[in-house]
Amino acid sequence: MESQIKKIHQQLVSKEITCTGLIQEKLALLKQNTHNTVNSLLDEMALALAKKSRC
Amino acid sequence: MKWLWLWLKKVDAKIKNGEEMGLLEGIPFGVKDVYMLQGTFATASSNLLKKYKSAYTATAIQKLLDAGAIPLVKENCDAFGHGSSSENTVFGPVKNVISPALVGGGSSGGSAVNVAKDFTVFSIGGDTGGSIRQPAGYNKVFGLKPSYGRISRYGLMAYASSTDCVGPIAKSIEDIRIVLNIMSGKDARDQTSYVSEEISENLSSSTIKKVGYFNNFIDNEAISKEIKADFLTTLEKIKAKGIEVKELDFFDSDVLVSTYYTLAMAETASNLSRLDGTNYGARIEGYNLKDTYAITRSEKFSEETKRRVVGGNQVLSQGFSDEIYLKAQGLRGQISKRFSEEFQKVAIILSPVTPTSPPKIGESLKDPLAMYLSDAYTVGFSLGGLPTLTIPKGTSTGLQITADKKKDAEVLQFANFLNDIL
Repeated sequence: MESQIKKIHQQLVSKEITCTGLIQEKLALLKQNTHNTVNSLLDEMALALAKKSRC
Repeated sequence: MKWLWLWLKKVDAKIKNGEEMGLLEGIPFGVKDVYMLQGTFATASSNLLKKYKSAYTATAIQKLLDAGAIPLVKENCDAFGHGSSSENTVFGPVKNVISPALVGGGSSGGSAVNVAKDFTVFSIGGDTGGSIRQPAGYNKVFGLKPSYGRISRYGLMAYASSTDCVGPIAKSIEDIRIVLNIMSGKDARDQTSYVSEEISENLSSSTIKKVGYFNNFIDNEAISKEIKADFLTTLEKIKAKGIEVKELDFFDSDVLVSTYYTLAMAETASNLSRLDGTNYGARIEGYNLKDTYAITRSEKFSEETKRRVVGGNQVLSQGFSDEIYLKAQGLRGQISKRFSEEFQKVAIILSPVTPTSPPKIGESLKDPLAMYLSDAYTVGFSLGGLPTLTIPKGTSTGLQITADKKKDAEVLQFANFLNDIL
């Protein structure tokens, strides 16, 4: 499989997606906790970082 | 949080300087819940630390934050790394991505499943005896246990300090490489860490001509027919590409497992002695201080954790330590020496990740010994401090690729080659 990091990086640089949009999407998936993978969600921190990020 | 304020200042500075956006900026990642991340819960999936908040950030995690990656989640795992199924947790068992009735593997089960489900782009797990490699195999993603010391362990809750490794889980070798490069490096706060070279992007050419495998891992009643057949087919595909495949003799997997667990239990008994209700986490008051220690630990540690602590203290106690603990240390020395000898003959050693497919949720808890034996193929490489990568090909639970100490680049190069032919 191709690099997910590079693929998303390109999408962020070309403004196809935004940081905040991406983080919100992932947090929504994690919130459902379908596979019991979540001990604690870092939503406040992640959204604050995304908001201030350059993407 | 002070670190957040400092991070934001760094971003502002980058914008002012017109710096290009780094590869990891904005990339969401997960963190196994045994790492410190200042201001967030660090529970180790245990009742004892369920309300404990980190006072500082682990070096490896800080490096990712400095690179602009965004942490989303503290991930479920076996408590303190004690387990191979991610069922030894107060947050409920992690479910396998292929079938939710099966275990997610462990102890970094939550991390592996989050990557497999694309909930995170990459996750940071911890591997002491297979805890990144096995769940990566069970959930069909890549998972790397780097050479011991390549990445600082500062801020990782210690299980067995002499084999604990920080490592990435991701969906491609390239993503493993990117994250590994960011996290690697000497840290004054971890005296076992060392300076390492960045691994270049050019992994396409592999000059490896000779690989080996341990015959006694394969010619073994414990391995499933399917995994054995798939592994042998993989070896044939490698031979067809002109690479010599050498059969090697090694210690029996029973010896590897018993050596590992003797040492790991001893080390975890020592490391967890700090959790006594005084400085960290929960406290249940007893009649006196000694009683408080006993009740807090009895009530708040899980059965599996207690089993390991009691076992560890047993092997370290007077009358037993010479016979058991020191003997295991001696064996470990012999295992390391044998690895050095084998790596004179071959550049890479290949192995299945597990002898069988993931068990159903609930099965492992009934038979802890069977769970320990399922680590047969991973613990040896841990004892040797060797870099080992699980790739999600070659057998139904993946393939381990191992090289000599500090040859992490060779592991990734050969993985790239195998990824193309399998």
